[in-house]
Amino acid sequence: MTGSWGRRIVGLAALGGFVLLFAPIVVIVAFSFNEPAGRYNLVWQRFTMENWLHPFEREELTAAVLFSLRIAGAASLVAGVLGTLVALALVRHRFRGGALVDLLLVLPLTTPEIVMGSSLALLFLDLGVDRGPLTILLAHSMFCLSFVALTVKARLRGIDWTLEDAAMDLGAPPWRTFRTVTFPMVVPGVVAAMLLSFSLSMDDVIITFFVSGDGDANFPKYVYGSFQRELAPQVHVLSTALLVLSLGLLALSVVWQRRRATLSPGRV
Amino acid sequence: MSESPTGNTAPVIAFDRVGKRFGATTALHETSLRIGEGEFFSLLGPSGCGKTTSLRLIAGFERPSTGRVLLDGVDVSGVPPYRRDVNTVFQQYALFPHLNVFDNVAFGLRSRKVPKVEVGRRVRELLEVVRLPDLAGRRPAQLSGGQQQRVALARALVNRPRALLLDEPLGALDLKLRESMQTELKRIQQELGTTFVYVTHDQAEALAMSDRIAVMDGGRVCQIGSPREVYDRPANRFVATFIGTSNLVATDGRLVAVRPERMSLQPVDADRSTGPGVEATVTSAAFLGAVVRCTCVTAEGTELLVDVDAAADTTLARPGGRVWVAWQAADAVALPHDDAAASAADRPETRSALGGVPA
Repeated sequence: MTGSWGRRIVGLAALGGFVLLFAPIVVIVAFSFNEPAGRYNLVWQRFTMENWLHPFEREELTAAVLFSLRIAGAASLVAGVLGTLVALALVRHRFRGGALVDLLLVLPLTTPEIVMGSSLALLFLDLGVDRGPLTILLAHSMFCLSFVALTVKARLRGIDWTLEDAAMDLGAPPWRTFRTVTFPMVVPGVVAAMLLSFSLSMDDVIITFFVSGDGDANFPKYVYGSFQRELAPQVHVLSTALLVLSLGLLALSVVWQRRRATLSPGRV
Repeated sequence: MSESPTGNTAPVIAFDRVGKRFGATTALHETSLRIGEGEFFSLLGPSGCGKTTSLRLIAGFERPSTGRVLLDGVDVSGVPPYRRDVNTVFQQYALFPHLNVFDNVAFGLRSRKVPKVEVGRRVRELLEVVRLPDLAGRRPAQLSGGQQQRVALARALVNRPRALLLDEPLGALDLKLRESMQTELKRIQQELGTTFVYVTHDQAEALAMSDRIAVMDGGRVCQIGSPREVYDRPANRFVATFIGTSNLVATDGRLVAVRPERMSLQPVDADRSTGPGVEATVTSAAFLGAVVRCTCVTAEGTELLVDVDAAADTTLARPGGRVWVAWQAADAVALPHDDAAASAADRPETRSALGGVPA
């Protein structure tokens, strides 16, 4: 039967695709349990828990991870606040230039990172700003802001704004309406967007390369740099930990959205 | 005049030549009306007739382009919704999804800083009134449509507003539930004595529940009157055809409206001197239970609907037969000819009725 052959081919192709997608991840997770011979953790020797018991052995690596976490936390906070305000402005108010703002929001996400990174580097040079943690934070906040604004905007479109009318009708002035009705409706979408922003910032290499000073390295930049000298198993351990963390964040953001969905009133 | 004006009782709500434009479109032409204490007042009309705009003007979500909106005689045209002593039941209820039933109902009282003990007492009291005392802890998503409707009612009424504004509140319910909620609404209104302003496009609903109805079309009020008045004495062609079914007949250069149940079928050789009538051919007859509804066509091609009592002699109600369609002159309502623009509210004899409030 040609049908069953066709299905087998499609199945094989799919399998190949999955292997291609997930093999690197499997390798990283597996080698976090390897006991390396020499400086490069590249050839499988034997299983050990040693690396997982001493994940913070390499101080520079640990510092890079902490640096990444701090930047990601700060950037997603800045982007969360500003992006939400932009989204609210775009959805709730019609104003001159609204369509232009919409377009400008998409630009940072569609512009190649190399272009974004190099132009930011030039900008900072021109302005005489020393590149360092602050410029990294600025750059990360920028692309996260676009991301937050766009995703929150999509969520806001699904919200029943009559609820604001209802609150005001029940005697709530604008600030109380925002605090008790608008904010609780908007916050699940914002949290989900911030969680994803956090992981966007965590793994950014290219832009970070251009806007960071010589001394500061976030996690991806450190990993890349360390290839020259060694490849410590701790890199695998912390990578795996970050993988689990971002999967956890993803799951969390899905749960948030589910929660929001069950909270919307049923229509009859 | 069949309405008895209350005289010295001031209206709860009054429109003083209120008009509303949105850009180039006029949602409401200059309208004046007065709604009395404890009245069940309906704004009835098809979508886009200005009824919802009128309600939003009372609630404070819209500001009038011209004229004044008065609550208890005080001009509130510029007062925001949260400082107006009226509450709204929204079309889709607009219950707060993140709050349970108790907190939804308590929302207005807490906004007004009512003491905690009193909040609890009044919320429970209102949940009793709408017959949902056991559901205080539920979230709106866990309630049926009818229950959500009752919560929306309680949430608005707990504030003891001067008037309750209802925007097609039964539109989302199925027919059976709608009918029982009509009775329920009427019971609650009588129990609390609150003024209800009820927006609907359903003429049967308006007729069944209202003390008075304002029939609206194209941003104008065509007629204000009791259900009986707007049914029996429609002010123009729109009212005659929108509320119930009317036959429009041109006789002696006049246009008159006659209800199908006020027309009768008689043999084609009947005595024609007893009253007005027209010769026609029965084209179809539909048995509707209580009546047989006959469609007749005159020589000029005018279609007439005639209801024949199903329990009486229905031999004439057969397709193909020639008949004399007769009615009493008293049952024929003369309609103004230029209906398109002229609304009855512009005519002096109905204008005086605008101020009337039933006793």
